[in-house]
Amino acid sequence: MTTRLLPRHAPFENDALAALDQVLAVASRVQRTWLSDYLAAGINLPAQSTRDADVSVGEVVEYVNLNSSRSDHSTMHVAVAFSDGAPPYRPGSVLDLIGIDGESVPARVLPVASSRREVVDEVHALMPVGAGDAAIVERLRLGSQVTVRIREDAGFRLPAELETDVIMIGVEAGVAPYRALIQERRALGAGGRSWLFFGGRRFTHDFLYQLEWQAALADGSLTRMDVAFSYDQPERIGVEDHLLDRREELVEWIENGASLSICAAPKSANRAHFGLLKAIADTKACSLELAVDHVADLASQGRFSQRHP
Amino acid sequence: MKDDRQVLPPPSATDGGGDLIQAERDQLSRNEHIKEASGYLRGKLAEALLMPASGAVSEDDGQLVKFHGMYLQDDRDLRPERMRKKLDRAYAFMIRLRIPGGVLTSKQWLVLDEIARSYANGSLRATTRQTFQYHGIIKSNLKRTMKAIDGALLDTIAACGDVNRNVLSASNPYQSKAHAAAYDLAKAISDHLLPRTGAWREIWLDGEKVVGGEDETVEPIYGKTYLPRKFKVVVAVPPSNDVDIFAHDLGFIAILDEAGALAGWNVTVGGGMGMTHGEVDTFPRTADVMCFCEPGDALKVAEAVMTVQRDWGNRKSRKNARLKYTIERFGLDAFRAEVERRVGKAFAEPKPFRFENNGDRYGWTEGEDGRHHLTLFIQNGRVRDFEGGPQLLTGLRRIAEVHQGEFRLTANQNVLVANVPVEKRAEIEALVAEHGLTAHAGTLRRNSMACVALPTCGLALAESERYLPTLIDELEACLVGHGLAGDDITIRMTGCPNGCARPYIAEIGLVGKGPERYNLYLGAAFDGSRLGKLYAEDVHASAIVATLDPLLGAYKAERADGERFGDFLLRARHVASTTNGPDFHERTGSMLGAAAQAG
Repeated sequence: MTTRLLPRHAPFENDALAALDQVLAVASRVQRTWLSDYLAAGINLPAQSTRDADVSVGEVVEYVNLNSSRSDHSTMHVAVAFSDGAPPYRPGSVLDLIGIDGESVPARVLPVASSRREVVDEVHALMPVGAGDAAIVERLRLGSQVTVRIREDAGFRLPAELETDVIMIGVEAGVAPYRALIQERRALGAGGRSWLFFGGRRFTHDFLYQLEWQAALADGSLTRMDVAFSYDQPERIGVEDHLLDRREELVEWIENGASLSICAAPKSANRAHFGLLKAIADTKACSLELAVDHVADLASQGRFSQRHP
Repeated sequence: MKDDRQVLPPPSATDGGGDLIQAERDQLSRNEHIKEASGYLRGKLAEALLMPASGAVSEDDGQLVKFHGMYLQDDRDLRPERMRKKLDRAYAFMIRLRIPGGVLTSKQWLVLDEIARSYANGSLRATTRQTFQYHGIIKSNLKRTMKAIDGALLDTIAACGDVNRNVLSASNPYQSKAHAAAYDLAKAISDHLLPRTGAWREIWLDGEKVVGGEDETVEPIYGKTYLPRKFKVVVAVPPSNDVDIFAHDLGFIAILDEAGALAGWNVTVGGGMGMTHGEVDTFPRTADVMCFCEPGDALKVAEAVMTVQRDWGNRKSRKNARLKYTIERFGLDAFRAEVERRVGKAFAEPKPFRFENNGDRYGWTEGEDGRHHLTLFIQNGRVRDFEGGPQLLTGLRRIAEVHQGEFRLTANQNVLVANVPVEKRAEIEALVAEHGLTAHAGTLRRNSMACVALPTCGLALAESERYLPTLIDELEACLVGHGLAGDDITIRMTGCPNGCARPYIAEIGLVGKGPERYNLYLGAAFDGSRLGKLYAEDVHASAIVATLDPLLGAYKAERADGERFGDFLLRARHVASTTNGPDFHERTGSMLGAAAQAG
């Protein structure tokens, strides 16, 4: 597979989505199939078995919609406190919500958004509220006793090494594991740099944990941040556009040993992944296929992973 | 009043502009240091734009952005929830355009309309100074917005800040030759007194950075610290005082000869509205009519008045920095002498003139050249589509699409469709009707103005734009009860004492004191030439109508033929008159109430 999909100096080079559309429009059927297959495979990383985790019961001590009241989105920040200490977890873990006030609910998998080293007896998770969540949202409240299972997600690896640079690409609730990672690295005094790409709908209303990112940038626990809000301007801007804009530095970080991850809903994750490939291909003046190989290499070294929040 | 007040000897010619000794520098207000260190208004703005996690700029840069025509604001309605949601304040910028004389082409209108819908909160806000401002533009959209504004051959330079602001001109320059001359003078002053720094183009349009340069070449008129405070210039054509000439630092009143041609200008100085609650050494002041100048001298006079204020104005206390305080401190005579010295000639005494009102003439008018002009009432200047109400934004956009003439913004927050050929009138009238652009508004409403206030203005102590329409609903019922529904009475409200809607020269002035509390000022002149007087303090919103009701009843019953409400209240001794600024805070309250207590 050495077909060149993209000219090196594509006229659309700063617009990843247009680039993707354009590639698909001019590509042969074989190429289209290949790219679609690749992206489909890329977003469905092979599930790996995780060890069984114990069930714990805790109390909801903070339950707040992080989106502004003017947003058409709701993302609930759920903080659960455990009287005899939070069960073990680490950045990248997920929380299964399985019961509320003693009654079982259809299991809901939430990304963990905290580090035990910072919140000690608690675990924080993000719950984007979708159409099917009415039952949970109505029942959950401050003071609810919730039954949860906290477990690792073996398919999503965030570096534990403190000297490693990290590039974190998160869209909407996909930013949760990065809040956990930054808390962890701050608590442990990590020496490595960190770079967060965050995407959402609107800056004013959907900037999850905005104040915390500002504090992290101020205290140095977060080195860099780029944000993309798709509804703030007539043209759609996503994290993929910033990945492309910053491609030189991005590749420099990668070649310097940085670890990367993408956490976003499927469509956004696809775009981000494609933006990453294109950034690599453009900077290294190679084909998209070689960029794919490069990302695959990173994944095999445990330096790249991707999942949905 | 002025005769028995002490004035200071004028500063010597070497004061100001030169080097200050350290002790003097230490006393300068914080803003003076910010300006001086800003590198001609650059500050760290370019860097601030690259910090994406914050929607704000630093406090110092927040002072500098004003010179670029913008204010950092936040949605105060949302403040209570933001911290809980781990969100920063809902910061966004107000961007104000510089539109000398308020003149816009249809093409420019269409660009401004598109910006309103793309980057701002879906509205254009006509101000009290013949321009538009946007609200709700977030930091990441500032450059896009500025580039679009530049694309329409407009800018926002010096729309706010310690500089000469947007220059106003009598609203309809096509009405007569004198109106055209007024606009030409306004435009010439605007061009001549425009800051020359390249900072605006450099920061917002990614223009080439010009480094270095001495004061004399970068800002030949301003120097690096610009003016002590804002400076506002207007040009009026009697008998209409639609630009509210007495409320501005510098004004020119057109004086015509017997043939109706321009003979020259009366020059007014030292008007201004802003004050601070509870500080009696701050006060609104109506301008003095200083002298008469010939047409060819007007630009030189404008520059001289501004540079005397540049050098004599108070740079230690911003609350006492406007030209009105300079004139109070040194006296009009000394000020005039210095202006004459700088221009190089002595001026004649002012010529007689007469103003009749400070409002707009609504509906169609016909100019000397047979062209037609339509003045539309825009409640509080807010051009937007109201759900279930008038579709102002869409309607005016549709007009701009077919109109070959121009638009003019008035100093009363209204919009004028200017220069309509007679054969186009029917088409424009149809659009006006289709979009409800002349939805019924009573007489009081048509004579009303409100500043923006909550939720965007950081200075607001009380509601204004969002509340005045409701108050007028109630007052109109009261006026109907007294048989006064058809009488012109001016009413203006502001959310704070800085006076953007010029409340102190409205017959009914309401100034925000705290949530739902207003100071009520009465007794101002209908033509904007006399200040009102504080009649009642801290009036709860629910008590405003009850406070005014007996006064309106007395006005109906006891007024002389043609007597205005403000004039009546003085003659019938309901409220003391204010001769000018310094006695604004004296003899306040209801005179009848005071007399009853004394008796």
